[in-house]
Amino acid sequence: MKLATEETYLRALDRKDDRPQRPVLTFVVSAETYGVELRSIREIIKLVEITEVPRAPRFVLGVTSVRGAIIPVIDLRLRLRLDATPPTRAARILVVQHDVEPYGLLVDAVRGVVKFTDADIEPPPSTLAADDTRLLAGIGRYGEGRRERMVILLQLGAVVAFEIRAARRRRESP
Amino acid sequence: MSDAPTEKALQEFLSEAQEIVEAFNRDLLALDEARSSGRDDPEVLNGAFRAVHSLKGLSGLFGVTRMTSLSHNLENLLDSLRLGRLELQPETLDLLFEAVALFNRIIADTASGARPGEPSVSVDDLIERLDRVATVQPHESEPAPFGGYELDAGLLSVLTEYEEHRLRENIKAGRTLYRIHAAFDLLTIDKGLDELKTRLKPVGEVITYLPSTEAANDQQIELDVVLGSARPPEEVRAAVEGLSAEVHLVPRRAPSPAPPSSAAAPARREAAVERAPGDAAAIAPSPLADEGGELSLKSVAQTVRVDIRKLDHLMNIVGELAIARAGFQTILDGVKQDRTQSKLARALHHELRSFGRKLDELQQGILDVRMVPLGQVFEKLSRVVRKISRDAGKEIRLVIAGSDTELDKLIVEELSDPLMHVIRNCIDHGIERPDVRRRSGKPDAGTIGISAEQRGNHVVIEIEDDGAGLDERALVEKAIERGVIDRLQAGDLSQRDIFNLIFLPGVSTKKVADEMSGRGVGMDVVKTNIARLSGIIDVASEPGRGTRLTITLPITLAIIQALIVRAAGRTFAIPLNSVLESLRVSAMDVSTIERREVMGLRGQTLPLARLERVFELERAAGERAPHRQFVVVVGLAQHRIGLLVDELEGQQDIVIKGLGSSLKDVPGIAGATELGGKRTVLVLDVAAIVEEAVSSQVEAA
Repeated sequence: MKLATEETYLRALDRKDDRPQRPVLTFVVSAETYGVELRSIREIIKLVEITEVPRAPRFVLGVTSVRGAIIPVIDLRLRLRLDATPPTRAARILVVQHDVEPYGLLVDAVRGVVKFTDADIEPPPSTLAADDTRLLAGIGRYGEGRRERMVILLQLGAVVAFEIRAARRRRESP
Repeated sequence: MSDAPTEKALQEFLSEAQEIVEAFNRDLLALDEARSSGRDDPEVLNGAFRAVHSLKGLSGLFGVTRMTSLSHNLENLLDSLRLGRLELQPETLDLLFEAVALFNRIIADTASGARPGEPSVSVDDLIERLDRVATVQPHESEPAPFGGYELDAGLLSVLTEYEEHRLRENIKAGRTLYRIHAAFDLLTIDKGLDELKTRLKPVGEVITYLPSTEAANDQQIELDVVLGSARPPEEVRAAVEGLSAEVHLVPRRAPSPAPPSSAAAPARREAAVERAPGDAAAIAPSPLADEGGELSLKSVAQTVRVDIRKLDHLMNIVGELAIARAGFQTILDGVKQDRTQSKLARALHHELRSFGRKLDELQQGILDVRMVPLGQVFEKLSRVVRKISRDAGKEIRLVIAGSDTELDKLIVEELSDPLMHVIRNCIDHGIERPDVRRRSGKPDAGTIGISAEQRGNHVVIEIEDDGAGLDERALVEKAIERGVIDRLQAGDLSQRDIFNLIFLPGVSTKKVADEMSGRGVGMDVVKTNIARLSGIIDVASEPGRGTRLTITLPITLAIIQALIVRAAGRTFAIPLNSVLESLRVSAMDVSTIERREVMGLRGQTLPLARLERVFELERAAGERAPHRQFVVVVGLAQHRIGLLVDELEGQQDIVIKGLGSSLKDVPGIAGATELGGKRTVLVLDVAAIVEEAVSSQVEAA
């Protein structure tokens, strides 16, 4: 039998720390728990007045001004094709940053921060519609046994990217 | 890679190089003009020489070797021209203009990230041709004798080659030589000398100045200035009046053998070599070295280059301060309600007013910094005119007015392409060939006039030619052929409508498409570009007499005045520069033609668009459009429509901000702005809305 030397002990310790710990902010959208990486969150604000933008996709609630910048606000419930109930007092707007640009994501409530390593994350289930999988980065698991929880991790880039309807030139006369 | 210039340094290099190339181009244009009018302006040639000299040094510093070697060759050529070893020929000038274009390409290349060491534009060809000009055509003129002037041998021996050349030129031109003996205080010699040179400039050319051979006291320096002038002694004396300077005529002998210049030459060469920097104390500095050094130092000290995005940032902050001010105003209004606080209310009111004034000044200050003269674009145009007219075999006289009219830097940048297209069209399609012009009694040279003028918050640019004018029938035929209109509609078009057909894609009067005018696609691109700048373009023409294009632009895009309107419970801002008027209407004023809503306005039919329908806005349950509404007449380029809205809230200065990359393409919305009270309001893109309304009309018709 071989005794663990201090060296192997330290190496094992190192390896443990090596695994990138990715803090993820978790939140509730239509009774499901979702998450985005904490580093893309700029701030979390309460509901503010949102100016609706005509001709934008339905899940774009509109724009609002945060610290002098105009940001689009996306209703995550509509974006993920979930049921949308009127927001409660717990509802928040996550101001996230993607490709240096800020966006607002409306969620029902904010839960907290969980740390994941890559090993804790599985690819999104293939049973979902293709369009939905595009928006998801994977499923993260944490906790053990009966207290195990699942977090659906969002693919932020896909969530905030969308097409604008082309100019409605050929509109029929009313 | 440690010696690679940083991004920032490279940016600074590029903008500085750009400035020098522009100055060089200006000098070349002046040189061209001076040459064709038979004038002789050594200062301009010196300026061009200095420009390439600086460029050589600068590009050497940054390892842009192509630029260094090109400037080096130009420097040699310009030096020969300056010294009179070469005569300035039109072909030489062409080469010099080519160099400008090449410099610009190298700058663009370097800016786009091509590493300095990796050439994609070759300079070798031009360098070879420059060399050929510099060597093949030696200007072997007999050294002109000094015209009988009794010039001191000591003086002649210290003249540089350039100074000697200028001396001969002055004598050849029949100017009188003066010797001006001036005394300067030791401490203020720089200022005194500058003053003297400035005063003398209008009356003649300062050929050289040297320390006087006459005894000077300790506190003073005495200089002898040699001046070549066509003016009588009285005028020269008048010019230096008040300075401690005496004007003498250089004595002139009856014609006699010239001083042995061959003997003086070797001595001169040595003297020139000795005049390296740092040796200035021993010998009076040559005017070139002196001025060159001073000028470049001054320009560094007095101007600062600023990234326009930094100014945008400042402007945003000003916008936020304006919102804060509105917040204070609300607080003040609250305090005013409380009678016990009237003293506080007054004080607050007072402070708020002066804060507001300062804020306005700050905003104006930032806007002023963004302003650049339109001359920057006009200069580029004159270069293009030269080239195109030569290629097209037409003679063009370009008349520019209002170069100092200022516009926002961003607008000026965006303006050069559309203006270029317009000018090309003038030359290619407007101005006739010389033989045609002669037959219709016009001078051979066609005239293109570009003028700019500020009118209120707008700048109006007019481009006028004295060419053949627009051919109405050909325009209509072409539009029908292109399917833009049908014959029936053609009958209804007013003359103005017909002229404005040139702004539609694919309509061009000239049958033959050629390389320069880009197959007639120019004018619709022009219109689009101008519209993007919130500008309006209009055309007028008289057959046989010429065509005039009028472009109206807002002075700045950073802060604009907007009309705040409400429709279906939402608030929108309409840029005031595209609003022509607004009026109150009732449902009775609106009629329908072919199911399109229109109204009569001063005898014309104005198509209407309801903002709530344009954007499919839903009204709150049970709410209906008010009986009395407002029509905001907006115009873009040649089109006008009336936007129907529920209410007008008033005018306000706004800072337009983008909606971000995901929403920037929403048609009809230009951006958003914050009004007081934390309200975010969308700003309409009038251009897009008018465009939509007009195209849906054409479809409905």
